[in-house]
Amino acid sequence: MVWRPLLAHPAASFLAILGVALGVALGLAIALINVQAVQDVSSGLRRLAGEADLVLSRPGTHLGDRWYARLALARGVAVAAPQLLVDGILPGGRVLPVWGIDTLQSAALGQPMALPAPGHPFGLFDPLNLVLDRSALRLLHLHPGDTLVLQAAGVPRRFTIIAAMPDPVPGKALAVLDIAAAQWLWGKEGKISQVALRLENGVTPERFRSRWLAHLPPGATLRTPREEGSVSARASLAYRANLLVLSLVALFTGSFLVYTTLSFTAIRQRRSLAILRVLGLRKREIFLAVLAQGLFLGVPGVLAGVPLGILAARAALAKMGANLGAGYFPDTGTALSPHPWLWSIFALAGVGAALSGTAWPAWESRKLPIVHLLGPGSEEEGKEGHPLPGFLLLALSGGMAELPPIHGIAYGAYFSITALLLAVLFLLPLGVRLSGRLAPRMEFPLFRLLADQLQGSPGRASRSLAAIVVAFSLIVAMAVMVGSFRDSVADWLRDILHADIYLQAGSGGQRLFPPEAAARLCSLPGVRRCSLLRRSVLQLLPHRPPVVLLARSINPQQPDKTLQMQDTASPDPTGPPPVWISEILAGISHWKPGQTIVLPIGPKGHKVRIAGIYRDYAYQQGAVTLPFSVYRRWTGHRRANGIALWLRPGVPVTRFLERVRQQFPHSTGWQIATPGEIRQQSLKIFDRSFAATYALEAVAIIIGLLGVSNGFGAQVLLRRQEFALLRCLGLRRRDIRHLLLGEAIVLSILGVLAGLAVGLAIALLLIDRVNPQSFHWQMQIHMPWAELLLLALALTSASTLTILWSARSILAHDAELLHDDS
Amino acid sequence: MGIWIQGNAIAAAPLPPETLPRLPSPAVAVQSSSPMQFPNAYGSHPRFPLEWWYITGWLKDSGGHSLGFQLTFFRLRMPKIWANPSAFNPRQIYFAQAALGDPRIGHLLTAQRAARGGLGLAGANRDTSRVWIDHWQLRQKGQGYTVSVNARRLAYRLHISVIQPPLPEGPDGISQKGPNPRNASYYYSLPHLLVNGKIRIRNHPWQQVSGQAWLDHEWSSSYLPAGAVGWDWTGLNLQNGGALMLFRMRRANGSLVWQAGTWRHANGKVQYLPGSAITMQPLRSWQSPESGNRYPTAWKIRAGSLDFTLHPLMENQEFRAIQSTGSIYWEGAVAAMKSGHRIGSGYLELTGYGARLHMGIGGTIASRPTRQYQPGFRNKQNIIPQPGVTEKAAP
Repeated sequence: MVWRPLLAHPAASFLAILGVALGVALGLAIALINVQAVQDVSSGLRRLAGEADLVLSRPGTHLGDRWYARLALARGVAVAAPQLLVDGILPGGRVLPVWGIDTLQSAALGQPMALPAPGHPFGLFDPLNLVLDRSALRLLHLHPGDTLVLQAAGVPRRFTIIAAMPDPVPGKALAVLDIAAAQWLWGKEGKISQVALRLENGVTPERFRSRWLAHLPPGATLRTPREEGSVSARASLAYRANLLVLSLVALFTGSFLVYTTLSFTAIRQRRSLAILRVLGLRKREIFLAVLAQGLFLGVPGVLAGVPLGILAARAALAKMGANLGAGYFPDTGTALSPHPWLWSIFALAGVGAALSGTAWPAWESRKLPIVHLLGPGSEEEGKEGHPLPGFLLLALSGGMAELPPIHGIAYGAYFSITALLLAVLFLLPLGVRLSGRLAPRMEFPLFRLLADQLQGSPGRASRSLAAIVVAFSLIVAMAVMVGSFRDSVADWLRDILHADIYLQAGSGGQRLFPPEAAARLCSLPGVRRCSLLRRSVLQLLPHRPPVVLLARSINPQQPDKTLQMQDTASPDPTGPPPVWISEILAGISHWKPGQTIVLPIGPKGHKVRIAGIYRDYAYQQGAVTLPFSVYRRWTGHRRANGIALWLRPGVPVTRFLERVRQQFPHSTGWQIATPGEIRQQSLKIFDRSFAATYALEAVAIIIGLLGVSNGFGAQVLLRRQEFALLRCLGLRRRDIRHLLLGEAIVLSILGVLAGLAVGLAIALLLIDRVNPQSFHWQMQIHMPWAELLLLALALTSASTLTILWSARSILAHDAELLHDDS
Repeated sequence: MGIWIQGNAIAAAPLPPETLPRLPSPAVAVQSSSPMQFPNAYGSHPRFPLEWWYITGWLKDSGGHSLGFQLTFFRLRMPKIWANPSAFNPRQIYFAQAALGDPRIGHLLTAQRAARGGLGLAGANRDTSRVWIDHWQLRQKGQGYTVSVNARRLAYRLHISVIQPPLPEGPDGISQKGPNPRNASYYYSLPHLLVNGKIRIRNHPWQQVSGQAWLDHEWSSSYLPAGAVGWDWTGLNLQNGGALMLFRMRRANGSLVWQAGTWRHANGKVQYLPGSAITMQPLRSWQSPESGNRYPTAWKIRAGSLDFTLHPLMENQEFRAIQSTGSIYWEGAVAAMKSGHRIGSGYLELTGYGARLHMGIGGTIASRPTRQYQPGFRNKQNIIPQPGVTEKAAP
């Protein structure tokens, strides 16, 4: 009784199973990638720290080595291991992270990079010896004993690889050398990046930290390795939550598909169920039997979906890294480790989706009176659902949208979107009936038949439509959101890229131009104006990743010439120096224009006044902009990472760049770009970061189309008697096909329109709630009308074709129609 | 625009030239033309490649139980030193090894430290005996020394009084280590030190202890005699107030390269014992379950007119110093017995009983042997993995 009705329509059942499988696979793949990414980062940090209880660091800048001496002798410290992190530039310009370590102390802490020669660390005491991890050896095709030329602070040095070590962070290439050599060769005498501490028995990290925190230099953090991991995890939390919600939506669409399939199966078998009731089966047993049909679709779906999801995650990790193009995680290939609990969660979710798709048809089939069920035509329709729950859900959705975010996640908006989608389910029959009523009353019989059909059984039609409405609304929502975002980014880029040429000292982010290069570049003939940029990072907020500090040539009176200002404070010439913070930082910190804060620069830090908030999409962790002159006064640093040049009118860019290349023979590592190239590159990165989103959309479309074809196929099947009757009344087969075509077009348009409406509402929620609450950035709404129209047309025709295709195969045997009694 | 970019207010540290400059290696030698002299001998001698301070002794706790204790500081001068201004520049490396032997525990409790000199975290004074790594230190203070060690498994804070003058362990303070006169060290001992203080074993409370100890201070630049793989050494506080030090250098097959000793009689007369005046015969051996090494832990000894047997406080006094010097050796409290009576007590050190030479540490280094790891480094049996330097040139 359970699977016979499903087996009778293997294609429909298969599609439903496929829908569940795709939903589960997609959700699981996204979740696996997310978990793996966070796990890699935090376990990598923990592994690197060895047995350390605490790590002292000062993100973005250095600590003096006296801090190491102080902490090494501090009460409660058993072992202290200093590290200096520098960048080695490989031939070709790529960056190899180099860790300057004290092997003796790292070994005492059990840190993995001290492994090569436990107890015999002297090989590293030669400043031109280094150890590479296996990833680096593989990457460079080198072996222990080979030499490697690395640029250290701009000077090529010939190192000997004395040993290989296992990757401290899986998949991450790095080199280890002696800390004294790192200080010497990189010109960082007296500087260290961090100190790992192991505490004596009985000293807790909390106690030690509370004793020391007040004495540390500004911007310094003292964190457990676990906290270091969780800070990096928190930074990407909103991004991961967003992706997970999107992936659950695919599962949600899958459950609609099950609903469509089963509600038709249930209706079709009402008579047989009624007979079973007459024969003595209880209501509850019937209910359970229909639920079991849901399991019959859900379990194979899950069995196929879970391995599929694991395979997809593995492939994506191997190809794109855990990043998925979004820049939150290091861009290295990672291996997927098994996560049985995650598999089970998604298996349960898949079965749950199938069961929830079954619940309504099962409930309906048990509550109808037997007499009604046994009567002729009972497959057609019972009473269709009342729209009241739909309106209630709409109201709920509106209310939820107003909730504030919790821990940086827009739960309210997500619930609001869910409620909105459920509301559609209840309101769709109303829409179908209205469309039937609104159709102009023409005397043409086919037309009347069409209108009557829509008015008479709106529930059935809307069931077929549910999946496509949900799928299309999601597509619209994403298209509008991504379109608005892209447009805002493009607009912002246009607004901030004024200069003719932009130069970067290298791809390494922190690389600097040689001392005199900036002055010489700025005084080249043909240069009208030049502006310098120095980028570094600053630990500004506790328990958050460091923010980017941008020191740049900026006119404090006219910051909007350089930045896209959103909010400014009235100028205060007597106050502390002005800084401008990015909208993202303002969202995270809740700082307001006019407020005075302390930047942890130098031994004591400096007071600054927030002169304004500007739009910035470049630094997800937040950014502060400071006049270069102020930065130079505080730090003594005069060198720049980036230089922007304005040329005199009539000076051709290509000619000018040739001159630059001639005069700066060492400029091969420099990155030189025009605003156009930067825009293009940025938008390319933008598109890549939405790769995951596009994949989700594609799957949603496929599931939606599967739903439509399933629904209409079943519907046509149910109406075979009706069609036979119409044939007897004199309609030609062609007429019936026209009737069906008309229905298909009307319903497709209706579905697409409904999807459009819901999709726009969801897009508003994403733009106005989810993005500002999760990522603290705003965007202007931009409707990609052409794209939407194209999508709507494509989907309308796809769904019409699907409907016709499923009808045709059934109507092919219409000779038997009148006798068919199924 | 270019004007305000000129000149650097805070200059970045200058970068070294392409060929990294090195500091010259001082030529030092142990020779009778420059005899050992006090008080200079007390301080550190950083021009010599190798130096150590070795305190060993017997303690009694408040319950009357006997314990052995050891604290050693090693200083190594790196064979190559670059002219690197960094405070981390590895010029001198320090190791420290501490052990407590308690027969109720049955094996040594040990702790180790290793650090490079610099930043005040590890070092040795040149004018008096003061050597330290973090909070571990041996410090000469007035007429005595203080010793402090603090680790997870053990800790001491001991005050040591000197009651006898220093004992030069050879004519002019030069101790000959082999047939070749180059193999020698400057070496003096302080026997019959009185110890008072407290110790902590594991996480038990601190307890008062007292006892007698022996301090060795030795520095050198010369080789372990050719062919030798290890040595047996003992230093004994004799109960009549005398002191006896004996050592012998062994080949891999156990045969003798060199042996010698010093006997200071109770009346203060010092007698340097040539090899012919000494016989040392193992009585039994003990095999370590951890390392598999087999050590002769009891001996029958004749030195000059002295005849006695040596018996360990307990069999298992193996020290596996993998985390500092990378060596495995036996260093334990022993008692000198003659016809059932104890005539002295002290320490016995047995080195070079491990597996034969390991070519290449960690496997991967073997492919480039000459530059980074010189032959001496690869001998895991050697206490001091120092190339071109005497191995612990037997006290």
